[in-house]
Amino acid sequence: MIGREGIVVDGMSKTYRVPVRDAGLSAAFRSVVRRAKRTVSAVDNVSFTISPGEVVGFIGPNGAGKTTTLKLLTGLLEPSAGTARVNGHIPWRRSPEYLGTLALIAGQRSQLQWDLPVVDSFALNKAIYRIGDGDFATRVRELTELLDLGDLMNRPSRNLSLGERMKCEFAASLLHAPQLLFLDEPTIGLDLETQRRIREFVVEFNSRQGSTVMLTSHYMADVEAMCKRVILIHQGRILFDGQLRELTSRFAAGKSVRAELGRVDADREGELRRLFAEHEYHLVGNQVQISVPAGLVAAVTNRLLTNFDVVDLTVTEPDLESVIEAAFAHSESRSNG
Amino acid sequence: MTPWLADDRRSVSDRKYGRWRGLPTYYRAQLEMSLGIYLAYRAQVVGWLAGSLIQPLVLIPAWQTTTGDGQIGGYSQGLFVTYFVVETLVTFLTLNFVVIEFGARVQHGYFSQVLLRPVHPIHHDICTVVAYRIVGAVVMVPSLLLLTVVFGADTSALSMSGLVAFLPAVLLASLMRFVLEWMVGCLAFWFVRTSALNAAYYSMMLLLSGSLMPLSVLPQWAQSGAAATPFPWMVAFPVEVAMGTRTGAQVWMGLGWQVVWTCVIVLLLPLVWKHAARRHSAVGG
Amino acid sequence: MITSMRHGAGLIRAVLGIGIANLLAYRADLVLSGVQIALRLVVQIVTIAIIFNHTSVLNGWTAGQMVVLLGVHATLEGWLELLVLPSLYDLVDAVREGSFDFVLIKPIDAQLLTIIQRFNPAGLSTLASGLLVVVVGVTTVGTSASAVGWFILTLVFSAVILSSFVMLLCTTCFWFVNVTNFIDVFAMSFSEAGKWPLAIYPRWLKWGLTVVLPVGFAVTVPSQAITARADGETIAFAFALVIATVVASRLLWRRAIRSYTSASS
Repeated sequence: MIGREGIVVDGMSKTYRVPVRDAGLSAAFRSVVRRAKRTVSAVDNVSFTISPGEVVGFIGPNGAGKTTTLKLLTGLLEPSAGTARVNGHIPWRRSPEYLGTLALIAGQRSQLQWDLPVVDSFALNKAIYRIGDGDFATRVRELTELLDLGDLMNRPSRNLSLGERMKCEFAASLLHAPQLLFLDEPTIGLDLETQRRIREFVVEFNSRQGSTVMLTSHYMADVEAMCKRVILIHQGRILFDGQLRELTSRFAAGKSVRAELGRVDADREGELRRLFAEHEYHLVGNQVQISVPAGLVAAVTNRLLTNFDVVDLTVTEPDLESVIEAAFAHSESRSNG
Repeated sequence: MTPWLADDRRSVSDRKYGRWRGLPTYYRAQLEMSLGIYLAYRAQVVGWLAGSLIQPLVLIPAWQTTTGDGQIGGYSQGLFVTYFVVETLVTFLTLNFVVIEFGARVQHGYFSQVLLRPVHPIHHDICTVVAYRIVGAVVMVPSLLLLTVVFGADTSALSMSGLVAFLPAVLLASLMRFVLEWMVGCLAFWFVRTSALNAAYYSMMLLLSGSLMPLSVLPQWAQSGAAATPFPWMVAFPVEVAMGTRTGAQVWMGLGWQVVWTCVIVLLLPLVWKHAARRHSAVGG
Repeated sequence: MITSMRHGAGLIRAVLGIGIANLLAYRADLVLSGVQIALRLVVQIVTIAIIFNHTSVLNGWTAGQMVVLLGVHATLEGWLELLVLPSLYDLVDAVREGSFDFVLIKPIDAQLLTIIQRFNPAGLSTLASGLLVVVVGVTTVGTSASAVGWFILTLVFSAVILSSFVMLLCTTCFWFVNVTNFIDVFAMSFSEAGKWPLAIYPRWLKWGLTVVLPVGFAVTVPSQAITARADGETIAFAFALVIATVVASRLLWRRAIRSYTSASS
């Protein structure tokens, strides 16, 4: 237990009541009189703790409950059950002391004033967060340098490209040096270069300030670049919570052996079938790919090399994306079976 | 977002249309679409109509109070009510969003799309206006009847012959206002910020058309001044025809003036439009 | 409480600073809106001139007093254009698009932040011309020092009543989503019905424009006050209306935020 510091979530759930109605006119009329409602569970009995200074990636498909969790922790939503404490505060009380220590950046929404120069939004935040003149000047200078803002700040937000605007969003949100940084798909829609810059910036900011960072993303590159720890969430439940390395070793069935064979005829194909009957393999032209459970790599490679004329051979780790797919598939087969 | 802008992006523009051939098909399709859009935005339509009913609700008591038991410019309290009820109807039947829409089109660059279509944009605007009136009538007619009853209008002035003459008068007024405002709208190409220009147009419209007061309450010199402008023919004239203030030869002369003004504007319009479109391509949209 | 008030004051200073900095950038808009308000006032004054061509008193209101009323109307209209309406149109958009979250996570009262974070400098020219017309009108009808005091007090009352009232309307956006219509109708009725004293209306409309849609009342009371015609009862009623609209808009706002954070979708 970390005590009062960090994020402590215990059995937190959030259900929504959504109106439902069947198609058709009579159903439409009925719904005017009495709206049928259905309960949808967005976050279901979720518990985890995050220590100060950690960078944690929240991964899951659309509708998994990632954004709902962020909204609960930033105090934008109240949970239906369970508790959460962030640095000793209950988020949904939204005390000014708590709000003053956090920042939320969302890739799909903007907090900048659309037709005012960005620097005006900075000035407003300065007043809202009561940032002193000295601190303000220092931080603006630092952020300008780190994010390479140049003179972007003097332009109205509407005249900025998506990437430029995102960099300004970051700067505007970090002026008060928040201890907690919530990033909701911060790199969505950005070009690769800007994505890379933002990732580097978050890592740099975290190591300089020691702020806790929670981020959701669809891009595995985000997670790999920024987070040591990931929480996998699916249908409102946590599937996995741990180091990124463990995720790979837990869910990745094994490694993948690829080989380019010198000559492939019916005879050789039969041989492949016989030798690798218990493995999953694909043969395209003279390229073969075999999925191998951990521990059997040496044996499989050996068998290949002794029985076939191998031109080239590689052994690869599965990429994060397929690991996560495997994890979701795993959970679904469990919940169905 | 305003429906008439939404309209622009969903318009019927896929098929090729000849200069005149195919127009009826276009009108049917575009009218259907505009109707659908106004129905979808019916809450907004009700809002605009509610807004246009505020003016008579305020002007009727103002002029009733001024009149007291006497008469001003030939109008008693009851006749003022009738005047403003008919005037609101005429405004509803002649109103269009062309000027506002032009500004928005130019400012937001929708005009490039409009110009790309093989159909002259005026046809689209006509459909929009007709659709608005059809949808709006559902609210407008009962509201006007309510005003008539609540304020005790003197309807004795309304006659069958007046109403018969009212139809061509209001139709021509609507047409005249439409082409005039299309021309005013074109000026948006010359002045990027048209708000002051539009405000000047609307101010003259308010004072000289008869929408704030019957023109007969103006001093004599102002009345003859107003008669020399196009404004009274768009509002005051149809109202006076309906109320029987203008009869016989006066009606024919009025209709004649409406036709003359409309023709003059229609003859000028292609000139202005051509320069405007050229100017638009020069400025870039 | 004290610190939060001081914080609010700091915030208002910041917003004003931003507004004034932008004033220079928006010079053209300022001039254009000046032209528009001038045209609007000309139309209104011509209308009054025509009416007083036929009568000398309009239910107790002389021509000079009517000019004062037009000035009060333009002043309040300027106030609404300056801060209130732009902020509230923004609120409706922000709630629909989800960027209201950013208002809610700021360590400051969300209602205060909502109302002040948007600023349309062009409203200043309307406000200034309104005050100018008040001064012109007053020179013809006369006033006294105490009347000016009451005028300032009731003008502030009216500004608060109108702001809280339209805020109340807008807060419904948390349930109905697109309520820009409500603001439009409010703005239209203010600019039409606010130009006349309550005295001209039939009884039902008088009450309607006082309680249901207090636009008539808000303009009439300060105009009466500056010509020393507002009685204690009216001013007390205005004060009660201030309390009522402020409390109502505050309560509805809190309900709205509660329903937003316990969220349905």
